[in-house]
Amino acid sequence: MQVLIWGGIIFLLSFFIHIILWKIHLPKYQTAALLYIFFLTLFLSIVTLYFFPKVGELTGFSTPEDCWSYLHLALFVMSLTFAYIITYSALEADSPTLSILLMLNQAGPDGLEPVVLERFIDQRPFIGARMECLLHDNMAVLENGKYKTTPKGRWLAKLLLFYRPDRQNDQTKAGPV
Amino acid sequence: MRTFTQFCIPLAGLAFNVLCQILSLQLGKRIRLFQSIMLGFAAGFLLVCILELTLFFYSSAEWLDFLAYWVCNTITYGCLGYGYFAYINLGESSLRIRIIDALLHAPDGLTEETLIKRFNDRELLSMRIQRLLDHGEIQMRDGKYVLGKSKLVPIAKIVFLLKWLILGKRSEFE
Repeated sequence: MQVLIWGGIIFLLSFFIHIILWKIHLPKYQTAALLYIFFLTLFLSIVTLYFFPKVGELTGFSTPEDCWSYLHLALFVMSLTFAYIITYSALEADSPTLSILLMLNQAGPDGLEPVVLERFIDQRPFIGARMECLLHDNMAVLENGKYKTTPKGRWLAKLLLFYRPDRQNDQTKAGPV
Repeated sequence: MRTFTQFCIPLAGLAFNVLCQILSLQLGKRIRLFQSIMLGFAAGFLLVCILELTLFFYSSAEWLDFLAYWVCNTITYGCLGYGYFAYINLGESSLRIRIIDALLHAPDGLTEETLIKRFNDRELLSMRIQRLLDHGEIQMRDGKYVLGKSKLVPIAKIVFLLKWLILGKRSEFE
């Protein structure tokens, strides 16, 4: 019971800190900032619960009983954090598929002519925006008019593409979103 | 001992999920990637439930305690499974990762023109539209695209609502 309650409280606390900070100023490196906020809050909360168990008495909830409970609490909050960060990356960048669907939803039963959708996409240069993101995140560099990967970009790509070593570099393999 | 076992349950669920997903993809000839992911996730979830029930029956835990652990471990397992799904899917669907992949295959680098030619916005659009048509998400009626029986629209609405609430804008191009 303690793991569920304290885990929920710590995650919600981190989430509200993140929302407040975002309203004040949007960080340059958002994912890194999120990791800092969530992990620092988790660490400080665990230290507080461990060294000051009276906090639990004040709130009416007992603190975790042993080290495995604390690890369980950390696992619970960390898994929620990673799930949130994965979802957040979908918020940062627009998905072409979801954008098309929402536009058709707004159009209603009359639908849209293909040329309208083409115009819509022309106004949203997804490729250019992703290239800018790669440069911003130091995953690629522009040298003598050519884009090249950085060690960070190579490491990340290898990590993510490790699962499919036989995959071809083919645009047609794109997923649904 | 009980707290240690409870800590291990979602991790065991994830390990079983990964194992079932890989085995079903390798051994099942007709199983596609997405189906293997769903199968693995369901298998892992089943293991989490079985382990929770076993622990409940073989210990003197109260039912409320059992329920709290079950909810906690189901959420933890769900998040870990979601992370695994994202890991597999990112290499397939993320435009950023596919661009990086293209750059990895070109040691001398690629010019902006080459990249735009390869990852053309219009081509991207037609590919996505074709996929949406294939999945029945949209339909072509009298030369116009209309929404079909879409399962993704509610997700799109939630994503754009969250984007507006958290980032204060509806689109990255605003």
